[in-house]
Amino acid sequence: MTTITFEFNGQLLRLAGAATQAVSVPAPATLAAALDALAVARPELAAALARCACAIGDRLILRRDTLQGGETVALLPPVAGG
Amino acid sequence: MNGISDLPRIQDQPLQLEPLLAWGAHPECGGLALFAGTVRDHHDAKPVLSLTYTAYAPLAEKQIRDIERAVAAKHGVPYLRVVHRVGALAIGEVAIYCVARAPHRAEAFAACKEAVDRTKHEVPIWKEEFYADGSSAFVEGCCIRPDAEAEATPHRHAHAHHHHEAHEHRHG
Repeated sequence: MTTITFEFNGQLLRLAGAATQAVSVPAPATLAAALDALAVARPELAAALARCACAIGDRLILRRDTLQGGETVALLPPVAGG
Repeated sequence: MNGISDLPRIQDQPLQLEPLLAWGAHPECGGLALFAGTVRDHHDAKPVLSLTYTAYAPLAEKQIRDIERAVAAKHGVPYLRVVHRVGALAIGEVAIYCVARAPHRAEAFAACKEAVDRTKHEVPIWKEEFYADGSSAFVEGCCIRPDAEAEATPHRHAHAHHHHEAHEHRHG
């Protein structure tokens, strides 16, 4: 097992009431599997996750992408700049 | 290019217009289009007291630069800059500046509009509005998942924005 840390942004910060949430997943895991683990750990966030993009650093990642473990993944809910 | 190509696109202090204009550079340009987005005092019929913008800066910085490059190339515009403010903003403060300089006005206007539209739709920046009744809400716009399923993103590229999160909460 390894740990993936999700970092909340925008409205998710309010929903989560915390800046981050770590989940344990078998390594390697897809982003989709890590998000499933997050939805189990924080069911109140589950509905919002489908509309979130995910990024590691300055790179957007896809649900099918593989995580090696230890990554911090930023969750990016729908945007409204300007 | 000049030194301001490296200026941060996401800034937490009041935005400065003068350095963005790049006067003294680009003598080939006869048109300058400027857009300034300021904080308005209402949302629908609701009085707004203030806003807080937040951003996921690592990606937002890169995406704004990518948008500048792509839009400038598409319209043949030699100079295009977008900067966005984050933090707590009062009514009337500038949230975004976009400056496009081009040989003629048509490309400058077109590039300025497209760069602002794309910034609002694609860049990870969020707006929380604080209302006169003590409540607040996030203005929900565009899903930016590159692998979004159609059913998960009913609002993707829809231009009727300003949906509110179902979740609203009160302060003090």
